[in-house]
Amino acid sequence: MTCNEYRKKLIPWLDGELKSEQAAEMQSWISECSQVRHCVKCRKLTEEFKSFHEVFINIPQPEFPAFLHHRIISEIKNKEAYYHMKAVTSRWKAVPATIAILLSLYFGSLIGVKTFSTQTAANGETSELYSFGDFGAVSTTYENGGLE
Amino acid sequence: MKPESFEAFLTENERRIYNYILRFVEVGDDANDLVQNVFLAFYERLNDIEDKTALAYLYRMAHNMALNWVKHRKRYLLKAPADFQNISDQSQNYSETDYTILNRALKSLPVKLSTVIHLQYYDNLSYTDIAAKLGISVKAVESLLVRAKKQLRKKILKETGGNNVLQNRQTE
Repeated sequence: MTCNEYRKKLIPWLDGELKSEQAAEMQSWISECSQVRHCVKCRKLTEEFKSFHEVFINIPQPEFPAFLHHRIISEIKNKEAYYHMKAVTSRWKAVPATIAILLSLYFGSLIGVKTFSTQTAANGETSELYSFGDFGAVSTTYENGGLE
Repeated sequence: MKPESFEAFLTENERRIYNYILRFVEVGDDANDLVQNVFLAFYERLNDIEDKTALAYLYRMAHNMALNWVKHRKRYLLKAPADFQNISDQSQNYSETDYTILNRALKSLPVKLSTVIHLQYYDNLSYTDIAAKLGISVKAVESLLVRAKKQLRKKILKETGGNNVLQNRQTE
């Protein structure tokens, strides 16, 4: 094992995450190898990370306020009720809009019917004029033209 | 995530999120409000969150909201002129408690690194458990923890001027 390999595995080793053989190898390397005994940096790193580990483990845990759970749950229920009301209100808002659309269609159709009936009367007059022409001038001209 | 499973998720994670946030805000009442806001915001996005990554998402929300809160507090905190007399001299030798330095270093870590450290030490979870909780591989957890601890070490040594106060405390 080299210093680099040792340093790479140092943190998982201190966290107890290495397999037993690997952990034993690390332990024997740092304590027995004559070369390592002179590797100041490896030893310093090991001591530092060990001390971090111990300090972290001993950090006091703050007590969780028990009321907070109920406060969150009740707040969520309130929010849900609010969203439900909002959904219902928005659904009811659609009713006057629908009525307005239906009324506009109704009045639109009334106006349309009135306009359509006026146009029919005008068309009637035109057809009368054409029919007059057919029975009058055109036919007369044809008869008196003497094509035959 | 289904709305039915929210309460179980809340029960499982409220303590760890409270601990996590308390480290940032340092005041119990503020932590209570923030925890509540985090879970409410989480609940509103429940349909978009996958079960596998829910905890990582929750930590990210808690981290961001806590940082915003700290920034907001810094901007609006008013100090009386008398308070300036009590401001400590930055050049003096460190005499703060280890936890203050440690907490400050932890606060400055990116959210991913901060989360794995929190899960390992505050919840005593193994690499495998952390990986399962965050929906990532064990190798990724190992790599994140190594990076986190190296960064922490650097920050603490920088803040204490190369003197590892944590180590001194242990040897005393």
